[in-house]
Amino acid sequence: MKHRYFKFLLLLCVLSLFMADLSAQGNRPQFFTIYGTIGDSISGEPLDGAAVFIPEKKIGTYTDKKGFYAISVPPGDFTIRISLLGYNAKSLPIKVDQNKILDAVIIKDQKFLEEVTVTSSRPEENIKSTESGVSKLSIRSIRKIPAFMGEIDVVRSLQMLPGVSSVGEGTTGINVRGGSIDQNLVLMDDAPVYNSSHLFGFFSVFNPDAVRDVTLYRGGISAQFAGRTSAVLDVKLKDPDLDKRSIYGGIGLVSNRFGIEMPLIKNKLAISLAGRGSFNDFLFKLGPRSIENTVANFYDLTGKVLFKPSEKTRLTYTGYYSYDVFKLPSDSLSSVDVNASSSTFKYRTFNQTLRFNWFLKDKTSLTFSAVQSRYLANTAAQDSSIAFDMDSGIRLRSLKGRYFSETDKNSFSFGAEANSYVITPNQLVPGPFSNLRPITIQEEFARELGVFIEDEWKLSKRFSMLAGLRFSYFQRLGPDTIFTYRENAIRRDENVSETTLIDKGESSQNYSGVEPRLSLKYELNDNTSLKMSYNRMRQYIQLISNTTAALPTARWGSSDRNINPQVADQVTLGFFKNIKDNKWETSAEVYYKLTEGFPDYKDLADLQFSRNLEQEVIQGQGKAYGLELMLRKNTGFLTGWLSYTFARTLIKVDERFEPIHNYAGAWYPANYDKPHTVNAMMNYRMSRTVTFSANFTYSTGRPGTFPAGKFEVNGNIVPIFPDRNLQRIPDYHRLDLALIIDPNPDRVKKIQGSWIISIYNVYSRNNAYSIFFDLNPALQTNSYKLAIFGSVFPSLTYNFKIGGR
Amino acid sequence: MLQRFLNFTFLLGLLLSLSTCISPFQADVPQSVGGLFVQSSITTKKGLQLIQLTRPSVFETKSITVAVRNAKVWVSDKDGQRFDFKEDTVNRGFYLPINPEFVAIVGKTYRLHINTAENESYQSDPETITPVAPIDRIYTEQRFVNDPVQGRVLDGYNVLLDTQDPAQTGNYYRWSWLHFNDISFCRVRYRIPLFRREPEFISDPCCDRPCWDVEACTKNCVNVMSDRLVNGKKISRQFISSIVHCNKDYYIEVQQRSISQGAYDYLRTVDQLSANSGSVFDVAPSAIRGNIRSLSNPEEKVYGYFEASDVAEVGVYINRSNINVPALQRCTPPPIFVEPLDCYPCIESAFRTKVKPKFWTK
Repeated sequence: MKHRYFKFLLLLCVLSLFMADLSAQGNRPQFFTIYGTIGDSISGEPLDGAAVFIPEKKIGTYTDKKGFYAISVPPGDFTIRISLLGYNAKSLPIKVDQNKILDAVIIKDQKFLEEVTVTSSRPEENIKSTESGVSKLSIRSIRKIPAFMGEIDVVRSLQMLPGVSSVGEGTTGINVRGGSIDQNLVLMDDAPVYNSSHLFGFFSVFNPDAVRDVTLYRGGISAQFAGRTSAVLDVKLKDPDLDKRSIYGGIGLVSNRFGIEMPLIKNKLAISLAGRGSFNDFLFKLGPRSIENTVANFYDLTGKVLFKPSEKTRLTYTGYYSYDVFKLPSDSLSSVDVNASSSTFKYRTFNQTLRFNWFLKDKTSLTFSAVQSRYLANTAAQDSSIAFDMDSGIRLRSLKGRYFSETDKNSFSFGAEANSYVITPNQLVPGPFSNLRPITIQEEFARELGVFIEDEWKLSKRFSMLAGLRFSYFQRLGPDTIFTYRENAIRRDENVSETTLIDKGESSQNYSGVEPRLSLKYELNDNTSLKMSYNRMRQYIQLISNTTAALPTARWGSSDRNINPQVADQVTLGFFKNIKDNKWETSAEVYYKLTEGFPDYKDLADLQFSRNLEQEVIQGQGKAYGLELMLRKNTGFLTGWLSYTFARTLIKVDERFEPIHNYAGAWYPANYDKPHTVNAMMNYRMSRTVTFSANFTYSTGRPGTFPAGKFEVNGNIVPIFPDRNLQRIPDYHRLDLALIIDPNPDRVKKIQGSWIISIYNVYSRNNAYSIFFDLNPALQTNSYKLAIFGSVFPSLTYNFKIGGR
Repeated sequence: MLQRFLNFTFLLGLLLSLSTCISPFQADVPQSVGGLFVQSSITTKKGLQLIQLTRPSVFETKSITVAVRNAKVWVSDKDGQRFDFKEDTVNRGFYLPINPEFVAIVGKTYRLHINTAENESYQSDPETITPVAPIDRIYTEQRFVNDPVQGRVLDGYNVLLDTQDPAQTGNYYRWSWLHFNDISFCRVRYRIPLFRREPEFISDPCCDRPCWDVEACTKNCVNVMSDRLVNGKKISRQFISSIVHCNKDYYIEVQQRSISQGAYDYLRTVDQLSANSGSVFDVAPSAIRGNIRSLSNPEEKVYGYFEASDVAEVGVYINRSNINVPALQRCTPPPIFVEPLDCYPCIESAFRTKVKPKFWTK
């Protein structure tokens, strides 16, 4: 292995020599370009960072993220040598007499297989890349993180990274560097996902069989992404194999998976379809009689079509559909005097992406995509007197174009994006004998336009800069009713001074602004770099939710005349150092973020049926700062990472909201403010067939508000809460283990099966999910800790794959 | 209501759906609370005027509610008329009108005044009484359970109400009920008999009969509604009370009150806070905004609302004696030991009366 590293470094060295030479060369004879893509022999996935080298001329390059490379060479007969860490090097003869396309696949080095598990494709990537706060996880490394109930979860595994947290186990979404869940732009093949969780947050909506990799941008966010203030989670799906057919799937405790991938026209057109479903009512059937009729199921379907008419063009279509249903049995409610006996919650996502890539010439490409994202939530009750059906949803249609060109010193890109939103707030339709009145709240129509330009400029060998500028324009369209309130008055109906009606299609309000993005990197030496980044992000649509953890039925709302966009500024400083030939990576990052227009809500806010959200929403300030430390071992039989995060997130609303907000005028911790977090993740390859993995996580308990006293009104014991989020629930920690058995690592058998045995919460800690208060005279105490994953959860999953390479 | 129901359903769903595990937890809560709590309501019907003064207590099961005694309490109207209240002789901290005939009048505006024995004075904001729609119908629905021995059996009844909401918006309702139970024993005592360890109950018959125990709702009794979702339509199957089966007709008086928006918001806050259990689907706690403040110490926290309402009232007997389906008897057991020679007077109080209930016919 040492040897391989040595060769790799040698290559780098030769390469840099050549680069120096290249810049010195003057008017040489004619050159031709050899270009193409390098892929993995098994998956066919493009390989990022493979070295393509012509020994005779001592010239070479690396492939980019799409596996693409291009080299200029004089005419002649040469050998092309392709190598990448973890793969067997391959040499191919080539006769250069014109511009040539050379695509190749390389085979994984079996000795090496599985040893390289973590993120960066080039080990020194964290030193060399300009941006900070970017983490990429391949699905292969996600599969090695022990999973709850054996269900591989893309979103949950991100919580092992520094700076990522959630309100609690089994809650929707993630909180990144002090952002709320809707401040993350979650993209699945370019299409935004508005609810990334199945079953309220127990599982994520991404089918692990379909995912290729996941990149989380929490610091230096590229100017091509916009619309959210905190982070970008970019989930890329696998391309279907253009060459071989395969069938794969898995059987697990929660869900079963099945997928097929097949070429329709060899090397031109291929399709993949992956489905996942839980049809076992999430084990409710095994529960006590009162819950055995609970229905809690989900399924999702992910499909992708790849059409490659020529070497220079690629067309892909991605379709995604997910469906969740949760229904409570009728008798579980009658005992508690609630007027309804049964209710059903359903929600679904339907996303489509059409994407076209055109490689114009070496390292220059054009990408166009058309996206439609829909999210619909439904709540229904069947009791005749209050029967109702309530729908809410959001639909986005988007067009994007991006030009990208790379030269030795610059990676330049520019592009534009146009979005159109239709937000349907809750629409309540009463049942036939219901006493309820129908409620129709005006749909919200909005447009968002963005143009951006970005350049990554390698000013010198040590110094590089990624500068981007985005201009965004948001327009809220009619029909709309705008209330003008008396200045500095609390927004209530009685303080409306003027009402303006806006016709359909007319502009009711617009906002625009520039969003500068800047990342700087300076390498102190080959193994050490300093980075700095600054981002401004603007957010025009947000999730309207005032519960500690967001409900899947919460509605979305857009900015309008009375609700301003959120604007966040973030500064990050980072120090990166690799030691022992990049065997160990270390990093330290600090960040500070200030958000204007951070949403909070008035006391007793009616978010479901409000026609004038500005009367319910109070916009305050959000402040987040923290330190993220990371130590990571990338190679060898033992790999993994250890991270520590210190993070604070605070919110403040202006003092003048005191009459409608119980804690106005002072900073208070956000629901997901967890100051200290330690994550440790380890993979140990015991033999070629068995991998053992473990993870441990510790975090400060989330904030809570505990009662200071009580009084009794009409038989209700009323707790007095004097403040907000100033106490904490107990600290959280947990250890998980997994054993991954792959009896057939060489992929030679026809049916490749693998087993994953995982144990969640090994030492059965009763981690607090929440602390609740109940004054039951029959009990000794008045406060209780509720743990929902309060015991050890073992699980067994079987995965298989037939065919493929 | 709907929102609370939805949140509640989510919570319940989660609580039930997972292998939950609940264990005691020692929360760091303060050991003393200041302030005053006032529960006060005046209405247009006789016998429905009640003011209660207590101190908020520590959030513990064991904590004792301390009544505020010997306060001067009165209600004034816009015309400067003053209606004095005096402390109940039996129930500490409860204040009843000195003139038992006192009723409030629709359209008039009232204020509550309190002067405690410690010479602290309090005053409420003015509340105006708006008219309330009449009750159309009180009826019951039988409730069944699955008994392991008898199968599906009648267990109790849900008392429901129908009313017609007026055309204009901004009507806020509160429902309450009183159950009058004619009693034979006016006192229950304990005695430890010779050579035995367990106490036995001794009941003294009432000296003057008839005598009624007045029972009001004691747990989760905030039953309020805004007409926002139903404006102008019929409000039907409105839940009032849940009673158990016993082979004896049940007399209940149901009150439908018109309350102000402030009272509605206050009661909804209170209801939401008392349902606020600490779950991840709870909303952030709200401040309790009453309409009573301290004149002597503006910093002092005063919890509670002075409610002034018009009342529509109906009294009915719920048939429990003539049931032809299998039913579980859930009557209160009769006393174990009766002292036939002793008797105990029927002492008039907030919870006991010699006065025949308004709709009593038997």
